[in-house]
Amino acid sequence: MTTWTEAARAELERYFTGIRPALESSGADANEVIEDLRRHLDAEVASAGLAIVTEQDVQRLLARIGAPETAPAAAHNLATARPEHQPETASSKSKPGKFISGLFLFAGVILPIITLALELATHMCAGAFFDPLPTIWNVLLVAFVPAANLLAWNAIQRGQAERRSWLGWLNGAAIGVAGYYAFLFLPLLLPGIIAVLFFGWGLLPWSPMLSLIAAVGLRRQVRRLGPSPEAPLPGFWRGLGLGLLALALIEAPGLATKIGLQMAASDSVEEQRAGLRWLRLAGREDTMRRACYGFNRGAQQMDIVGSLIAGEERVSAEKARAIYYRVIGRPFNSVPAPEVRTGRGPFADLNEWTWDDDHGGDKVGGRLKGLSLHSSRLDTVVDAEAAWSYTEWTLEFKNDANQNREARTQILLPPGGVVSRLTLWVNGEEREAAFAGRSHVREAYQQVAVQQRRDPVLVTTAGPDRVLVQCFPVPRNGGLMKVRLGITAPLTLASASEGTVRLPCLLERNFNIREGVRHSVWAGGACEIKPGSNALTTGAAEAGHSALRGMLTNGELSSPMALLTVARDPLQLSAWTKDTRAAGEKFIRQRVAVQEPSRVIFVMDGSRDMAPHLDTVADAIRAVAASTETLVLAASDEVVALSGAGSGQRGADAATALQHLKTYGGQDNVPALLQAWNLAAQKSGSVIIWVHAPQPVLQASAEALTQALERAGQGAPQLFELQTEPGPDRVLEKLDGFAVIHSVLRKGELAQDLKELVASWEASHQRWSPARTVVDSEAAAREGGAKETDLHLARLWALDEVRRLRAERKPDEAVRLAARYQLVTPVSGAVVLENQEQYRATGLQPVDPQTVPAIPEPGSGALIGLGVALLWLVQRNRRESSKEGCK
Amino acid sequence: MSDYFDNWTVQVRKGVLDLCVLRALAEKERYGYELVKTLVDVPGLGLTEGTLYPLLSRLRVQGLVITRLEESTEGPARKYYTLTAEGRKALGLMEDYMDTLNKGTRSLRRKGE
Repeated sequence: MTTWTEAARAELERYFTGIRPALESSGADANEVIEDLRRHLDAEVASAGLAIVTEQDVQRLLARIGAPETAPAAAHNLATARPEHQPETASSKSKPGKFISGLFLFAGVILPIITLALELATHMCAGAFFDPLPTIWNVLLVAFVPAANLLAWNAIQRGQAERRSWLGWLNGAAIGVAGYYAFLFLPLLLPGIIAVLFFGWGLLPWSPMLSLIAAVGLRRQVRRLGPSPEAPLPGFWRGLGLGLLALALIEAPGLATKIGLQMAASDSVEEQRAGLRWLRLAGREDTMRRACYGFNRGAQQMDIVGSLIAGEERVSAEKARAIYYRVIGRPFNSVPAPEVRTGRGPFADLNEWTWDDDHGGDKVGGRLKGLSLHSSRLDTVVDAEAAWSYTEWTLEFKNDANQNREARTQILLPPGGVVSRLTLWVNGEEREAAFAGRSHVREAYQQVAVQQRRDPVLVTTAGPDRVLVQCFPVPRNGGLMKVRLGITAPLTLASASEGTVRLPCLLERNFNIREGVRHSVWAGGACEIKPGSNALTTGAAEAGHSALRGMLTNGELSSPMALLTVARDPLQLSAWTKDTRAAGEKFIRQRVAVQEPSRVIFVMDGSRDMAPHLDTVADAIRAVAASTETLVLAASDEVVALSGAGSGQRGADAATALQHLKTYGGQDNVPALLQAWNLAAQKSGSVIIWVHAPQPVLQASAEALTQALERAGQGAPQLFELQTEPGPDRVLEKLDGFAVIHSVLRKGELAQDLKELVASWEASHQRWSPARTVVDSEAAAREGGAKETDLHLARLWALDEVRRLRAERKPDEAVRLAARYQLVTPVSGAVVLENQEQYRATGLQPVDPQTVPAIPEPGSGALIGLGVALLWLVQRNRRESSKEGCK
Repeated sequence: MSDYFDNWTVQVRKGVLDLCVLRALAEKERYGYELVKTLVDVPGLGLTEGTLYPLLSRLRVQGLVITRLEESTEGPARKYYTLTAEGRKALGLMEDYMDTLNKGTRSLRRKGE
């Protein structure tokens, strides 16, 4: 008889309690195994002949028995073993059921692909909420998620355990990308459910979330492909990190640009500079250009994360435009507006910039989609001996948008030119403009165009030789609007026997010019005219006359190709006309003058686009410095004096320093101009040569500079400005109307133009000065065999007078004079309204159509004499009536 | 290297243990204690009671063996294990598979030599 001690029994029970869970999980019957073991121990004890079994005996016996081993379940499925006798693989035990597999395939692969294709085709989300696919990289990254899910799903189906490792990485990256998009679409999940409930569809917003869930589920299945279900699957954190890194690389430039914009728009000067440096280094042009158009709904990219980091603070469009110029060095509207991705159906209206913030204002503003130049025609007549030209520019605008648009453009006139006629076609009839004070005509335009939304056109000056033209409405859905400007300008004379006509051109515009649209040009006169381009060829003309005609692209119109060279009688050095607009018998004469400066100050724009011109300007400086005291200032982030006053070697040193000047972004030129003016004013007869790129942004106030110019007095410095390429100039706009500002005619290469300018100051070269004087008798006017010419000469004299009166602070007299001669000057403008009632309401009077300048049709010479005679009679009667009225 | 080999032998033993038990029972009906004593002597198998009884229980659950108790004059009652038809079929499949596997591994061995 064997006796078990209490301790022995307790030890045995502890052992059985400990092994029971393992037995139960092994597929064995735990109670049966424990009974078997109990029986086996009894047999051992009996075999050993033990009378008393102690705790130590039990421990010894159990140590030999050992812990129960749990055999793999696969070994016990042999009853259903396959005929091929193939060993069972891990895949077969981890493979999910067909339903679950189908769910994974739908949620992780099929639905994301459908969603991606639909968004690419319709831009549904972009139009309604935000653009989730702003770049091709976003598209590729989104497409990566269903691709990775499909590879994982396929490996699970085929039991490809060897692909486990890299599938783990891919899956981690897919989880990262899907998680990011699921986060972005979180706000749309509830509307998605509602749409499913009420309309039966609306799963698309759920696509990122469902693909994320599928990716997580597939990861669990891929892990089970391993030797045991517990074996870890590598690559989750690293794959996740790679996915998020890819997202960051795509989103980072846009985000960095937004942060840079906010810094550059800061009130702190230091932060502004840091922001500009940052944007020049890492800013994305597209993001900055979008900011220039404001942040309306269609313009926004996917920016939820960006908003979380950078905050909701937005840089205004006005500030963004200034920053764009300072970073890029070009105006934001010199390139087309950014693409806007919008939806279809109810969102179709958003397919263009819907809000024109500059409507009715005095800025050209951003390009408006749908608005374009439909046709353009320039007709020019030249009087070579009298040294003037008159150009009529007829512009027709078309609007394909579904709302009315205002067309705005800044036009560069020929040097010294003035707008002397403005016509608008209303219902097919020509309507002439009223000329009056600048604020008066603008107010009338605002009232009619902006408030009544009717048919006016307005022209005001926008700097020396620049005017702003704006007309509204260009009717929607393909409507047309046609306007004509008449421009009187003096010829630019390089010598007594040769003059140059530069056709006006577009500096800045808010409309597009479609491929194939050309400017149709005709030029004629009683002189020989040579074209600057093969695009213009000799046309039919009367005896003693010549004519050119042809088509020019917009780029050609603003290039030397649009220059017309006019041959003239070198002995004919004076001209006169009877001033029929003046009260009493008055006549206008022109004279020749030679000018030589005492000091020349070069102001060099330090903007990025000036880099190719540094050597050219340096050569010009060396040429001037050889004989004249020369100073050189560079407009950079600060004004840089490249030399002290001096000539010879000091000038040459300055030229060398200029060649090494670092240019970047768009620079503020006003401080350098003011400093140059102060230096020039120290010595009588000084000249400033300002070589610059377009200045589309006025970065600081120009008030101090305009004050200096207003108070200049006799012997004031003369400022010659050379713009390297066509474009808007906000600094020159502020210098409007000052007689000391001269725009240098751009004939070709900058080097040649600078050389001609410098040569014109040398005693050996006579420069035709467009100075016109009033004489009281016809005999005095005719003195020296002066040629009698047209009233255009009087218009040019009147322009000089307006400038003089303005400088003498006699604005009312200046306005009256400008209105009488029908001129657009810094103090006056021209506006065409739709009907007499509008004119009455605004206190304006349109000019008599008989008094406007015109270009006779070629070949109608016989009618010209009759027309001139009739005009003379009408003018005489009108003058007499006017005299009586004045009395 | 030693750890690796030990782990490998454990896996191999697990794989062939069922085969050894079924083979021992195919010869004749045996009770548990007798089975242990028989299989403990098989070189390399490294069988312990803690491994055998759960395995026998699982074979019974799978229907490959049946059991019966019989009183013994020498000690506690004995539990006899007998192979079922399904057990014999499974044993046949396992034998075939092992033959194939052995042939395969031998052929590789020759090529390796």
